[in-house]
Amino acid sequence: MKTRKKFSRKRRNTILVIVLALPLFAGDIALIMRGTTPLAEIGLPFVLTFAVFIALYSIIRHKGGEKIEYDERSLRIEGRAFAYSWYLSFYAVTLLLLNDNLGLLKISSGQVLFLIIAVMLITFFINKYFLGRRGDLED
Amino acid sequence: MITHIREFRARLDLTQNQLAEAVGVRRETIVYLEQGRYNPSLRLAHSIARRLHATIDELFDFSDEK
Repeated sequence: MKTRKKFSRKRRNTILVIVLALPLFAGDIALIMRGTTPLAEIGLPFVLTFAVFIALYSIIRHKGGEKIEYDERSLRIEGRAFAYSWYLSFYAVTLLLLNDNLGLLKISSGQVLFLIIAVMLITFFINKYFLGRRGDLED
Repeated sequence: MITHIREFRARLDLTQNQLAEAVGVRRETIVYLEQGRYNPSLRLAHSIARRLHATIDELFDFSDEK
């Protein structure tokens, strides 16, 4: 009997990310478009969306047969990604301090916190993605 | 680094998944190991060698590195 070739795990995970992320973030964008949530206050909904997204993604990955979530390679890569993210966040905080001293942009404390969280999360995932693709920390 | 994990695995008719589970790593790690893109810890290299009934020297070849 001819069997249909299944999606590779990597492709399945990519599709999963898109399927999960699109409606969640579309909801946040809809909030802005409707005007019920001003742009300046969108930080919290985005952070909550991100938390829900990560929780759902972890549950589905676990149920999807990923028996081993972490191993020495993934832990090494995540550790390095965290370290890079920490450095970049430190620079972001320094820039925000400089901005405050020079009075260039008027931003609320809520926006500052949102910016820092965004920098931490985004730089972590970007670093993790690129280190993961390379295979190892050293060439 | 050149590895011979794929050949030894094929001899025992093991899939990447089965080898990964046997040595306690993710399948992705076995993929990168077979491509010679990941430098494993001594403990992992030893576990793989034991599971594949080979020695570490037979599995990992560093002769291309200075």
